[in-house]
Amino acid sequence: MRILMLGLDNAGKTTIVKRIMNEDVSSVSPTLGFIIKTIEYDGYQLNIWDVGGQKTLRTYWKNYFEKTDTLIWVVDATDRERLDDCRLELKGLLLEERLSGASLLVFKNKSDVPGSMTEDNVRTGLQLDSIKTHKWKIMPCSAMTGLNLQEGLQWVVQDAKDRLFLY
Amino acid sequence: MAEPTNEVASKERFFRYFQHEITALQESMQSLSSHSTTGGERNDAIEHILARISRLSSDVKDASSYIPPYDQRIYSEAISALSSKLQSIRASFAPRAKFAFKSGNGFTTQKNASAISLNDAAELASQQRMKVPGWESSAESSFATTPAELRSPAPERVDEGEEVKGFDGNDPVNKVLQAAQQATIRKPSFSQSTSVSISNHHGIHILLPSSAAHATSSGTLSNLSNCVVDMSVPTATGRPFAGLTLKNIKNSLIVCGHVNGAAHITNVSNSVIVVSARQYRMHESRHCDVYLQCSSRPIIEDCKGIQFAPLPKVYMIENDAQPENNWDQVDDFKWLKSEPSPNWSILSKHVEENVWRDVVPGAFGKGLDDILHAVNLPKA
Ligand SMILES: Nc1nc2c(ncn2[C@@H]2O[C@H](COP(=O)(O)OP(=O)(O)O)[C@@H](O)[C@H]2O)c(=O)[nH]1
Ligand SMILES: [Mg+2]
Repeated sequence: MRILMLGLDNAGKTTIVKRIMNEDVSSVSPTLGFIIKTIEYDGYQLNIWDVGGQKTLRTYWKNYFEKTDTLIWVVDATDRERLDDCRLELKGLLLEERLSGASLLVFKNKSDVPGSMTEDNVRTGLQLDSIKTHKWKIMPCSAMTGLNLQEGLQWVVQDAKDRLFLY
Repeated sequence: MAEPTNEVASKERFFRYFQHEITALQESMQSLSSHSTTGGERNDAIEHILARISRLSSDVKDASSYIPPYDQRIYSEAISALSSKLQSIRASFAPRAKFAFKSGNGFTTQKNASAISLNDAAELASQQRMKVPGWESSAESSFATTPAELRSPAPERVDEGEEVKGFDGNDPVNKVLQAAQQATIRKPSFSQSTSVSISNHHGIHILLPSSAAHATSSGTLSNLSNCVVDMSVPTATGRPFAGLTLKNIKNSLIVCGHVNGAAHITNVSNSVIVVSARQYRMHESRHCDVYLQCSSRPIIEDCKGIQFAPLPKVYMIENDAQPENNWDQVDDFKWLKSEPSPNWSILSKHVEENVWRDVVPGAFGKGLDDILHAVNLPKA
């Protein structure tokens, strides 16, 4: 299975991947290109592609769309300033033909930080309810505490199973 | 940036080709076990994969004229990770070495060769570089032992703001600050809030008191000019920011204090930034001096004239003594050539320790202008 992990820079994508892999999360450098990690979950091999989110790198995102089963969109719940940016980037992605078959998991990351945005804030801010083209789900999570990372992958795998069953 | 578009195009084309190849190679490796061993089918497949890896590796060499060095490094590390993955798969075919990963409900956090971590590769590569000598812990400069009051400015110039809740929109603290524009130093109270937000100020000195410590879960400073903001006290006493954002700041001194996550900086010009952070991310900024403690590699993007220096000792807390400081290991997202980036350099003329210790906190009747001047900024 191919999972594409995208989001604005500083959302916590790399830290999430590192936490899932049980690696050190305290000295993660900003991603200069991309990272691929393979993990086994529930009998599935998940190839997670973590691509840098800096403006310079966003033009490269399109190189990764092919064969994506699930798009994990990581949002920084402490970044109210850029929530609208975040919405626009996501909206653009969902128009991409090559992502049309992918499901969408929105991770509301940094939920461990007091005073960060609620699930409703993010849901409204990103206008998730208007998404009709993709199956989607939002989950609060934290790369620091590990909150819901496992549950997120469970959703991804279950979703893949459901689709296999359908076709 | 002035890069010929065809160069960008070939870089991108290669990038896409490379991505396609390693995905395909990974897939063929994964299906190796399904090939029959009789008739040498599996061996053929292995041979085929080997040939493809070696072709990919020579393709990277051929493309070296237009691929930036850090990409080359990442490509090469990906290739060697692929090779070792193949090796471990072959080893698993050996009859005696048969074992299987359990696939239960949890993660099997296999940190084996199939985890191709390009970032790890980059980190490994960076470890080969010259290490920056660590900073000795200095007993005389420890914040923890100095009561915040002693570091505070002269009491008659201090404004205690009202206690307020919530800081969005019509930020009451900002109102309090604005109402007190005449006084030189502001000590706003953030004792009821969970975050610090300071915006839309010109020509004021803000000193965040230690009572703001529990408000430092995250911080945002925006639209400031000719200001001095010092947040080092509350963030040193055990409550660092989870993350800090600086945006649209001119001609100011910002002493950020400690950040457990990233210091995310956008559109700051002609300013001095002092910060200890896990990550340093600077965008669209010009002509700044940055005094930095950073355990990961700092990055800049769309910046010019940024000068870096290590964090002054007076701002160090015990934690800063241990992790390595990568203040001068800056990566420029907008500089892909092998020569050093012209957009940043190492600050040659540091502001003296005693200035940080004596002048910046506003003691001895030093005003805003004196402080800005002391850190080499134009007066307000
Ligand atoms: N408090 C908190 N900080 C986080 C969390 N996830 C990431 N961070 C911090 O956010 C910064 C950016 O993380 P990184 O993984 O590099 O972001 P990326 O650009 O999306 O890959 C780092 O300094 C992390 O320590 C989280 O869940 N909670
Ligand atoms: Mg990253």
